[in-house]
Amino acid sequence: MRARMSDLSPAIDRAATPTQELRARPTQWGALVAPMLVLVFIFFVIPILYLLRMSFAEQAFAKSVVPIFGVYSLENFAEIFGDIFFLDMIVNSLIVGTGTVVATLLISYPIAYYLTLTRGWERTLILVACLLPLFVNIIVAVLGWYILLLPFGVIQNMLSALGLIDGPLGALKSFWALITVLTYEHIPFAVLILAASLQNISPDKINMARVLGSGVYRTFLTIVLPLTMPGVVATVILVFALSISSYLVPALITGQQVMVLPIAIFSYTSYLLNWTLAAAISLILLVIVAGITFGLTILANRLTRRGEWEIV
Amino acid sequence: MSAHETHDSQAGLETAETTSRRSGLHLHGLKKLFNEQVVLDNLNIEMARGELLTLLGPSGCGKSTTLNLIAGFIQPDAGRIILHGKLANQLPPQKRRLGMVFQSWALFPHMTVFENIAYGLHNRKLSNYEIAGRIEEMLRLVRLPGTGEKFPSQLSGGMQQRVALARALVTEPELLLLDEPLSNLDAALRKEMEVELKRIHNQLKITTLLVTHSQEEALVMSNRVAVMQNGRITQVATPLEIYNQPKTRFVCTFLGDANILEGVVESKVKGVAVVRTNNFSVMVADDNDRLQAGGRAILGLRPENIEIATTDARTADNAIPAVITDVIFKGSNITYYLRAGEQVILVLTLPSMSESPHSEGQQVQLLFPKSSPLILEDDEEGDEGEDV
Repeated sequence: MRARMSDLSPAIDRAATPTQELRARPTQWGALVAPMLVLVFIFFVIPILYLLRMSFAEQAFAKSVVPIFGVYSLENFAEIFGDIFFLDMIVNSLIVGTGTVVATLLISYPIAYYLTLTRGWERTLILVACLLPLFVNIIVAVLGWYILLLPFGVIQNMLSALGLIDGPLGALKSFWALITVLTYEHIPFAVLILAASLQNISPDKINMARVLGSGVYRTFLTIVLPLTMPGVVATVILVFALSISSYLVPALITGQQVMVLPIAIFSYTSYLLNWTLAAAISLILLVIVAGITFGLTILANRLTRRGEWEIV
Repeated sequence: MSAHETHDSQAGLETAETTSRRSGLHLHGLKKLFNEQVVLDNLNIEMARGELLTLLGPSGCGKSTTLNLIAGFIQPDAGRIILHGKLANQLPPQKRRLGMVFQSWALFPHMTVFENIAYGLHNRKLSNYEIAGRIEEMLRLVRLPGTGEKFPSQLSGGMQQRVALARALVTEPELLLLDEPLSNLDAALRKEMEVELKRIHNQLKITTLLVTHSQEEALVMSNRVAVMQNGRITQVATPLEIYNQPKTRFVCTFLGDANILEGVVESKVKGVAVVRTNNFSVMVADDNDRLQAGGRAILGLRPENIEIATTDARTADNAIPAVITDVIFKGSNITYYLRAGEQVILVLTLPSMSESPHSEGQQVQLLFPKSSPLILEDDEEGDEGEDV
């Protein structure tokens, strides 16, 4: 132990000296981020380029394992955009993503707000409740929902027993079930992001708005919401991207009943073995996520004029 | 204003009601507990319209709690808050027609200076034309013309402070609350803003309650100063009076420096008492008959009211031999630390161009007239009034 301490001491000494030395040699920082850059390049950039190339390959080459020497055309995209089945699927995915985002925000924002106001055991309870699901594997969590939502499962039996429904419940394998489970999955992330954002607003600012004559709603709309906008945007982007690209939840909850893009991608790669079409669908999904992320950031920045001001 | 002066007698309440119609703010018997700790205890304040009253006290004395009660952020456990002649205990902050400046200024960072100031006006349903006019006028008043389109983060601390003030004033509040508004500024800027605030107050005559722990701010700016200690108001008076006639030991030492002498009254003849401390005797004028022969006495002696004499040529009612132990030259004044027996005494003198200051180790006489010592009460050791 002692030996290790003495090994560390030169490093500590160096850290104690002014950072000038570190700043003078950016190549050192380059060395530190290099492994990360290599990983990103090999496992992200190259596959994306490969995907791009494959999505423009003609379907005649679809069944070859490495269809990169084929003939390129817009055949795949023509098929997708010409088929109501695919268009429906894109719309489904958009509805699921948007619905999950809205539901997650509506549930998480009040929880996060409450979290910033409480102290003691209540705070701990909410934080634990938020963090605990993150430690549970999503398959296990979804299985719980699966049992609840099963035909003749817990929810249906309960509603029947109460006399509210008669016979199987149609909604159990619908959009609503999918959105519910995806919302459940993403609430913890949203609460943590939003709480961090809300925590940054000093109570003085809220008190000030009230002294200046604003009621609860106006204070929320003019002060709290604009100041937490960065957190809201981060939440929207994260939840939208995760839920629109979620495969596991739709696969386990709704199966083929609600066709969303990830299910189709999986089908085309695994059963139908049309890789080029799957690549094209993947690219569309990617463009949707990237487009919404980018567009939303721009829009939110425009609306709140971010970049022009800083928190004071 | 003693804590128990106006207790709940019915007659007392009625006069309180009628006078408060003319007053800007009346706090009656306010009490506040936090976690069963008494933070405010039977607090009474009455402010005349247009007055600038300062609540002065060390941190934790309950002055910010008082402000929060007046603003309506917290509710009192007992007592009444009468704003503009109406009982306001149950009113939410947004209905109290107040102006407020926080220590942090609490500017809205996502709004321009113009929008910050306009914020309160939008709640008053004024026309855009009228709002623009008022803001123009306000920016001129706080000497920030032409900054309307800037964001708070683009302004210096002093400018942000002025914006906060403009935002508080533009709604023409009936009561302006200032919560240590200058403590985030550097010393030079603070002095400038003290004068500035005083100028603006003189111009607008808004009833203003200033909370501060800085004695200088209190003395420079206020019409009256209320000194708070342990959740009670110890004394309310004009700055001059509170400095020259402090009631208790705490008030005397909190506002300005003071040498505190404790002793026993040896004799008392015709309004002149002789107080014997452990080290020497002091002759004290006691016109109001506050000391009794044989009783305990606490005296306060301002450092600037003592003269240092090196020869026996001059004399005074009191002449006490002492040794200089330390000399501190501060430019505009010189502070001497002296020892008379066991007692350490501070003396403040103005440096003179012709004479060189006294030196350490010198044997001198401390001269002061019998009117100089201030007769002080001991601090109330409140049974529940611990430091909070």
